[in-house]
Amino acid sequence: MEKLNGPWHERALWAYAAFVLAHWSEHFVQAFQIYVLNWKVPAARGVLGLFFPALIKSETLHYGYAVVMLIAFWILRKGFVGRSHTWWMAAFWIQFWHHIEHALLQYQAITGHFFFGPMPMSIAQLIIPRVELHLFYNTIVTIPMVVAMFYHLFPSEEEAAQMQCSCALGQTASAHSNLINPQPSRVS
Amino acid sequence: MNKVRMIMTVFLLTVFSSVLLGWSWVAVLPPAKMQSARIVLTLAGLAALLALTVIWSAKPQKVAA
Repeated sequence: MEKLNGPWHERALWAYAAFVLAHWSEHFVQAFQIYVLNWKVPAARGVLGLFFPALIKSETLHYGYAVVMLIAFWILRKGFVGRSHTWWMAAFWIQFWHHIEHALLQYQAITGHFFFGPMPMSIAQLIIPRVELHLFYNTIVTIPMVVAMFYHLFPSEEEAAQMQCSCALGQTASAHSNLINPQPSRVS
Repeated sequence: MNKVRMIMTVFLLTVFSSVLLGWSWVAVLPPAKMQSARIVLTLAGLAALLALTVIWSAKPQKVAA
């Protein structure tokens, strides 16, 4: 685990970013299918879902992705310091709630005991349509992740001094950014 | 730094575009669903704009050797 947050952190983050972007590309395609091509929501299954419909309908796939994201946020957190750590942990906690929602869906799908209607539904889905809710959740998880990675790639000099990995790209990001988190904090 | 910013910006603008398209499309939904969908889409759009502001307002400095 120390290597994962040290010499392997850069490679791990690249792999994780690619994983997250692949998931996002499916959601972008799905949004395009619904919002631009006017496909019916059940028919708009991204790219993978066109070839493997059962895979995309499976709550297990969605839950599995949510768990993998949560675990990755947790195990890679110690490589982040200062502002990037703050933003990374914000993404972790938002993903934690997102994962609870998927756990509820997964439980209903497995047991057949539906809490809120004729199909598995999460809490927020009671008032918000699923596609838009998912777009929202994915956005508010990914935004702090992107900012965390930006500050991780371009740390302040104080942050760079604390880093154990090779992710920094040789410049620091300072000035206005200090307003957001004035005191670089150590990894907890 | 600007290369990384540009890559992140392309992603964030794609998110923002999806949100804008969704905001328009949800007009076909029943009023209650439309309102709730627009609230979360607005929040998602604002989050994308926040990220753009943060990454473009950071000033680059060379790390001292």
